[in-house]
Amino acid sequence: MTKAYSKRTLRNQVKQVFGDQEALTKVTKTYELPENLTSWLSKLSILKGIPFNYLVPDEKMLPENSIRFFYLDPNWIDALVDGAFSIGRNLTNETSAMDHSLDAVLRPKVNDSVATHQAENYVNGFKDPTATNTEIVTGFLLRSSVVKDYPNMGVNAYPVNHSPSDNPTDLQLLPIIRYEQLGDSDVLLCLIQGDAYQVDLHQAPEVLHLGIDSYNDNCKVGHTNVNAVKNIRTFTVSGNKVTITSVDGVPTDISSDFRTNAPRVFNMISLSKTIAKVNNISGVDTINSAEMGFVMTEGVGTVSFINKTS
Amino acid sequence: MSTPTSKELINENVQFIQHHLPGLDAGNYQLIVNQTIDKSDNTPVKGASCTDTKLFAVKGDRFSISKPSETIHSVFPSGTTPGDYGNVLPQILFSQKTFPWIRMPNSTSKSYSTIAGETDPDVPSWLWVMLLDEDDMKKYPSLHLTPVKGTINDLYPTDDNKIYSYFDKGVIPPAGLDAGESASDLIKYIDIPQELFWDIAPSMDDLKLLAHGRTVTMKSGDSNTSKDPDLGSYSVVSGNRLPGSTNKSHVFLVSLEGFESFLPSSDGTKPTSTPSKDYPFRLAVLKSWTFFSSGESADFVNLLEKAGSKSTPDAGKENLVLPYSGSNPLVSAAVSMGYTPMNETLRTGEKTVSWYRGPFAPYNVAPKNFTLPFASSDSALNYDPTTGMLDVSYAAAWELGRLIALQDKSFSIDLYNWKKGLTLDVVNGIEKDLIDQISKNLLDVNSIEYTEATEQNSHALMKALMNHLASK
Repeated sequence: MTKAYSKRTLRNQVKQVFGDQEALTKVTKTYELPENLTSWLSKLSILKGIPFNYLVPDEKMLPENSIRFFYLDPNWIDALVDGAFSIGRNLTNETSAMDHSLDAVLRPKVNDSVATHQAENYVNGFKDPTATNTEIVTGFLLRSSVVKDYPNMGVNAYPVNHSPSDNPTDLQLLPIIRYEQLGDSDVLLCLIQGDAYQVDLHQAPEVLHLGIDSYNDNCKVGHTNVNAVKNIRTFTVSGNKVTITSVDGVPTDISSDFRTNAPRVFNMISLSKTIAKVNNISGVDTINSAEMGFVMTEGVGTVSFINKTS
Repeated sequence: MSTPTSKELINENVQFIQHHLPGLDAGNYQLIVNQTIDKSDNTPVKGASCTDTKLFAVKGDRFSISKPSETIHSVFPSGTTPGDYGNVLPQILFSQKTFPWIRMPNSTSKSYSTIAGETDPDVPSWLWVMLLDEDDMKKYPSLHLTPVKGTINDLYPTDDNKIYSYFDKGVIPPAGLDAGESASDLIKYIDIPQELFWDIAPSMDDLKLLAHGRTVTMKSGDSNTSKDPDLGSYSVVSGNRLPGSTNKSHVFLVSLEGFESFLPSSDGTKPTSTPSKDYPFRLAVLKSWTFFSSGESADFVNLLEKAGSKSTPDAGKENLVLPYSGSNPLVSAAVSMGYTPMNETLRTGEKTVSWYRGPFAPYNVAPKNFTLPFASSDSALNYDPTTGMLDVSYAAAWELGRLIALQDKSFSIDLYNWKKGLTLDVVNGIEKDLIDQISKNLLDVNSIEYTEATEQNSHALMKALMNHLASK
């Protein structure tokens, strides 16, 4: 009597399924990589936790006070993620081994879910479906003391034909995948989705500071020597809506808006009247704290880097 | 070359807001709940009414900041680099956006929560960013620019403690203290001579204009790493005094809670009823820092322009490659492709030089579409037969990925378990299909849905078996 079912039957069947990519793909179709593993791998794929000397093998490539641009090598990332995913598999050159074939079937899933996860985690929460060159990742390394001194500086990256320098009327912003200071060092790493043509680095908008344009340094308004000058921004208020009419501002003599007994201390009420006067605000002669904040805020420094070769 | 784009940043990314008032001011509250039950004729049911009273307190920092990292975002100028700060008003940026308004400088207690209306009036902040320098010390020898460490008890004026402060003379702790505060709590304070205070302290009206709120939206990919683009509300308290141009400036964030009657008017004249004695004002210091204002400009733009190439006017774009000045065309070609020569010890003990390139290449590398997975790091090695050298880049990346994964136990164990579970599932599935198929063949039935060996299944199986035997 022949056995209808034996261990050998099962073994043969298992071998057959694992040997057949198509069959194996079919039976594993519904399995998805768990969220915690996807998240870990997507962090790895943007190079979190990679020792710095693997990124920049020689210090001469990134001297002090330098900025260096690059394309992210997709093959390197593939190999890196593949290495991490190889955990739990016997290392063998036998590519027909069971765990090897399973990994081979699962591997595309890993890339897909990591890519999806990545898009949900752009640093700026920016997801523009029209962004070009979605496959390419570019970026830069900045080594400068500004990295430490301006901890929250911001970055804008634009593609070619959509940057302020070559087409200011049709701007596109590229999503930033990773943007951070490496450890406590003076090096900043930025990864950009897309081929960046212009990169603008600017001070963080929230550390915009209040100040005036000149004080006690032989400054002039027109041809008159004055003690202090502020370029007062102008705006019009209608209801709750404020419209800015001049960002650069009107140079105004504010010498008399200081206290007489303490020449460096502002008389805020007098200052707010001056601002109201420049803005022709009638009815009320003073402005509110939000308007004061806006007018007294000094502009933010921005430096642009343009890719001449691409 | 720098292109100031402040226009765009201010228009699109920063909203200026008058204030962020707290829902409830800090202090003690009493909540009284009454319940009455009426019959259908609207007369109350006897004995059914009840009342309950609950006491609660809204705590708010008062003489010190309990969690500085959660309250304060940053200060400016931060003091790490000297720069030309002569035209700058020092400021503190609070990430706890209601902080400048959780208390009041008013003498008589008012509540901000009662202020309502479409266009709110400005409200004064209880905080003052006070700037002092060595010139003030020369003028007022009793002034010390270092905050004194003490306790809340030191803020109570007594016959020995000759000061004016937040509490009236004759008040004895714990009177005047809020819930959770104790007279022995550690604080820092500074004593300011009256004349100096009136010269530089803001008036009540000034205080209204020295604090405002800001909302930063993350439209252009800014600093905040928060995923929610609306998160980014801050408030700012700014100083009212410019730093001396070549002085070390000492900045203090002090509380002016209840100080209304001591404050000067906006032009710096003394209040109408000055205190009877010439005692200094003692102010609690919530934060202090120093910065140095030098004539030299060490600003953002200058520093960054140094980082760009000096030869090209537009700062230019430079690639991440190893500088090479030699004449070997092979080396020069490899280096321009971003490779670095590395000493390598082979498994056989030989020493050789191999090429390595990290994830950053100076050109757009075409995807190789590897047959993944690699069986081992060796299968990711590239051998160049023309030079006889190895390109270890991808092999190194693979090995590094494996090492990083192994280092993180929570990842490697989870991955291993997931793969093991998946393999078991697949094998079980195959076994199930197999048994299903065999039993179908044996019994010549198609009705059995064999999923697992539950009682129900075995009954169905038994039944089919009986039928089968009976039919033979």
